[in-house]
Amino acid sequence: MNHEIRNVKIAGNKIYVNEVEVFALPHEMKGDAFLNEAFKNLEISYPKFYKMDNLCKLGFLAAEHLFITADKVDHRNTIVFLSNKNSSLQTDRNHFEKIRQSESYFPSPSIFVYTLPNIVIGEICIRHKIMGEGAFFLSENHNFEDLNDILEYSVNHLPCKYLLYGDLETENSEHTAHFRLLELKKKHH
Amino acid sequence: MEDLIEKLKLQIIDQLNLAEVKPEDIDPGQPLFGDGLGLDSIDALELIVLLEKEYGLKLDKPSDGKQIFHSINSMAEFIRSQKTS
Repeated sequence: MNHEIRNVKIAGNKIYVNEVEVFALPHEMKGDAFLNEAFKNLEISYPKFYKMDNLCKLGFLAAEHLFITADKVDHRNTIVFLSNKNSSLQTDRNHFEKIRQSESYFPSPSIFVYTLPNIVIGEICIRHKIMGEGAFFLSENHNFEDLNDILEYSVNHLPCKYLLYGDLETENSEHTAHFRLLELKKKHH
Repeated sequence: MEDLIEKLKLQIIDQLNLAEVKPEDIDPGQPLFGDGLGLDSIDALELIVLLEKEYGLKLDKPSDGKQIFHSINSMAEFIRSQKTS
């Protein structure tokens, strides 16, 4: 049986670690304000955070709380599976706004690089030096049971001891995430 | 020239989302990449866009980029030289 080391939920401008609230902002502070204030609350120096799109900021924050005291986790043998419904839609729209007018066609490289949802996995892996496999799934219902076969195959066939899996969404300035960190018990065939 | 340098500082902070950097923190002679401001390859592309968007300037030779984007002083000098030529 897999052992859950820790879980993180972000919803309604609040962050919970193992169901305990660790950070909250008034609900009126939406969008970037919540993400940036939650980052400042961590009191870490990581200037790259401010260059990320909101999906990556959200994933970064959830992962930071997930790993904050999980010292024993072997990141060389950690795999990351994330999922959401809307992919990188918010950033895709930002990019579209930059290029829709032919007379002011100035695509932003720093926005364009985030027009793929799996970039959030890259940001998390860079930050925590995770070297295992990663995959980002698009799923209408955020339902990891749909991915059970893939998860089970991966867990039993990839060189991994730990699994970070979860879903995250940024939609209409609402940010929701649910990350879980598991220590894996492999089946022996 | 001083005005242009101060304007460039603000534009770079804004364009590159350098949220923790203040204009007075930037030495206009310090390298923008590597040990200086620590910009990366995506930032380099943003600087090229900034030159075109804000000053109507395009780099004819990509190989000139290393010299032009060495520092804010060198960027300002490039802008000044293009405007007066």
